[in-house]
Amino acid sequence: MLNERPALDVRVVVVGFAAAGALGEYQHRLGLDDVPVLSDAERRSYAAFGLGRGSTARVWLHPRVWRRYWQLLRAGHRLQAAHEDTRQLGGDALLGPDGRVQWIHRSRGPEDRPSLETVRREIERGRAHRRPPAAPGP
Amino acid sequence: MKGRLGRRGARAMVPAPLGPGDPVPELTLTDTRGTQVQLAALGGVETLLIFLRHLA
Repeated sequence: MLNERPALDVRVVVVGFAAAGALGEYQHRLGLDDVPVLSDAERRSYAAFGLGRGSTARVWLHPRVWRRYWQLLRAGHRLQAAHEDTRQLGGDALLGPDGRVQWIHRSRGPEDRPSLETVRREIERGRAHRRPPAAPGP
Repeated sequence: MKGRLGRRGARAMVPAPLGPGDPVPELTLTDTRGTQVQLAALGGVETLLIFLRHLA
């Protein structure tokens, strides 16, 4: 999703629960200097948005997780040891210009992220909802 | 959050998570330069929040 952010035409903000310094290294390593990256070590935003922790079985043993890791390895990614809570799940949320939550995707497992098309659809749905109805024709 | 209770009800007193239409919560996060950022201040512009898992 981060690589595809130009196609979304919305501001993208990343939230992590690592320390700000570690997130800064992550931001630099991934070339995200144009993206605000925020640290929430206490995970209060995760709790507020309902992003929980998965079971050990779901996070480490589920076939979809292994399939995803296999895809990453085949794509040339190297797996690294994690230093944070591996059971904390992520998610994605759209915030509207009115300061309200528009849509939330809560990951059910490590591999469960919305597709670009899903996010685009939700962005369009929100815009259509806010758009004033067309005036009647003559 | 509107002070609602989660499905475990009053016994656990767990606030229900945010849902569509709820205001962005008043939480303070820290950016990578150490500056505090109000999550609610992100309103005003359509924003996609991406919550990461661990960094490895």
